[in-house]
Amino acid sequence: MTDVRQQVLDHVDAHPGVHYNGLVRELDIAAGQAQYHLRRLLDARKVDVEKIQGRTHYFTDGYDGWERRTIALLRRETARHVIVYTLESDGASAMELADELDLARSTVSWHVSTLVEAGVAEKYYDSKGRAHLRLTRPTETRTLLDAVTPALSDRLVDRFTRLVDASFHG
Amino acid sequence: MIGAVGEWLTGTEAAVLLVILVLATLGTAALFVIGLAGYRRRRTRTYLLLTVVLGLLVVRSVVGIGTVLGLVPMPVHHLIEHSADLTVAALVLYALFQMGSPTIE
Repeated sequence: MTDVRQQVLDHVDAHPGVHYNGLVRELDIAAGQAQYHLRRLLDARKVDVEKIQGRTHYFTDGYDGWERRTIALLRRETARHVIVYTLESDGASAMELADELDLARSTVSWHVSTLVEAGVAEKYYDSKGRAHLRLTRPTETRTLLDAVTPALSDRLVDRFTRLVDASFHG
Repeated sequence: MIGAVGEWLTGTEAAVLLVILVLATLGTAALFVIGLAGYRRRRTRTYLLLTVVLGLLVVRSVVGIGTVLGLVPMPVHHLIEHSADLTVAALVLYALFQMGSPTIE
């Protein structure tokens, strides 16, 4: 294996769920070069991808689908906050999430459906018919929390969507 | 200092204006990329409108650089810049209108 390819593989291994852009920036290699080596690593099944809402996340072996999706979402600021709050409150209502995390209702509902779709959380209704959220695998989720933190670019996009949701109900 | 600038400004004015325009281009381009990423996640009309608005701001700065360098004639410059303003106003007003009134659940 070439030095650069080994470097790419090591980086993905050390940063599970890293984005293509983050990889190019951190390793300081040409975009085309990164693309080429990632494709070869994918072909050789040394690297896996998970696509969530148009962004591609890279992983080395050893993560199942659920872990990949959870890690990808934990790399996003708002989703991460929703996950952490749900983890600590053990069954947060949608209204509580909006109030406590200071999010527009449309922002909460978008993230709730994303988390449910990814199998990270599930929705249930209390006796009064209010929607609540709980994590499907709280213990494993807590372990993964420490593995990743959101990058600055992700934080900015997240803040932009929160601003737009709050102003326009996007 | 700068070889080809429009006839309407001195070399110093052109240099200052260019610095501002380059910074404006970088800033608006960063916003546009963030907007585009937001649209790719949400895929709603509001996000699309705002991304187009941010893109128009980038176009304005680029046209400004072209004008300072004497590549864009002044009438064309004014036509593009003020049409962009009109479009930005129309798009944001449209986004506000289509929000509708709040609904009670």
